[in-house]
Amino acid sequence: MRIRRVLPPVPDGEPDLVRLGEDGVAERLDGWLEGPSAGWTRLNLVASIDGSARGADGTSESLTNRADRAILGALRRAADVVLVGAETARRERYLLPKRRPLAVLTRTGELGDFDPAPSEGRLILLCADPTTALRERADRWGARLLSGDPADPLWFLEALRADGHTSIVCEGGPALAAHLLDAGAVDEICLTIAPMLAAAGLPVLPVATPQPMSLSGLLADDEGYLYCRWTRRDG
Amino acid sequence: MSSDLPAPLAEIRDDFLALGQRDRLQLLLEFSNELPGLPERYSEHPDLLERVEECQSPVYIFVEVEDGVVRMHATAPAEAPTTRGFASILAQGLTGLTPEQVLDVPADYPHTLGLTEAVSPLRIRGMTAMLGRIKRQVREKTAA
Repeated sequence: MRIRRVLPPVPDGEPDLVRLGEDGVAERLDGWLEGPSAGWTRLNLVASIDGSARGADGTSESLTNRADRAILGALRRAADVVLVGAETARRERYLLPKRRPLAVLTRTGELGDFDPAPSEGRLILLCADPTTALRERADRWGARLLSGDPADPLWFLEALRADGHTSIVCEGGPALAAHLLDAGAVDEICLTIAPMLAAAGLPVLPVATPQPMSLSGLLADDEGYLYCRWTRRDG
Repeated sequence: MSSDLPAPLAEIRDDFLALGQRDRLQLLLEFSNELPGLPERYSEHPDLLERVEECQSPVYIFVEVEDGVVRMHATAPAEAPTTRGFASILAQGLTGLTPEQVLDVPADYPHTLGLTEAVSPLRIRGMTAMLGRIKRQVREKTAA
């Protein structure tokens, strides 16, 4: 499987292809997917052509492919922390990322059967008003618990930054992604478009505020998956 | 793409296959660093652990089945990073699955990780044996 860089065009003489399974794949993808600025917040989600964040199996598993996983890895390496909502951590059966901590945002403290292996320092729980049960879970998992002022709709971004995580990639779910977009807190949207109609009806970015965007990057793989990046167009 | 393999195992396999040979070995070492310690109740009861005789290094496993969910624990010495890495892959990939899902994992899963150039066949057979013993424990614990 190959991933081709379409936009922006590669400088003359540089390869515009990576072939998965070859040495140097990670380095080249890292170069192509550098963060938009120093200290940023990015979204990374996958959707079907009809804009659903889940496929027929009820998760994004049936939408993703091997190249998408490689790109997800590069976007994680570019960040200081991976942020997800509790529902996504549960539904998608999140494994802890290898090189970056995972921050899980929960309003209620209810994490259901999300139950990662105990892992000192690799898990951060974000809850504005943590329950005793959540504090105990955090202890058991060796997770850090950050809280903040629930009146501030972006308290968790502030808490992550104050904790030293200035480059943040949010992998969903759609409600959290839309919340960040509506609050004007997103520097770049990275969206994988899977070549299928999912007819599964979970809108990937259910925003309430119209905003013009500019295409800042486009990759494509051999299976017809598109990897789009958009930044806000000001004015 | 979707496959019959449970999502966490498919994710781990794809992460290996995306990399070149050199980086795959590095990823295996990262897994070996992530093998969680045994819960206290087992570290005090080594008799509950089963040795994987097929592995040259002393690796021990224990499988729990509770409320229809499998949890796999393992311990292996830091001096045996390959074996420890394999145990960590299985602990992370199998924990949280249902017994049926674990029993359905193809026996050749260890051979699909693209490590046959970097790791000796003997070691990969050790991982296959580990998977086999895990399935046997799951079968015993769901039959009771």
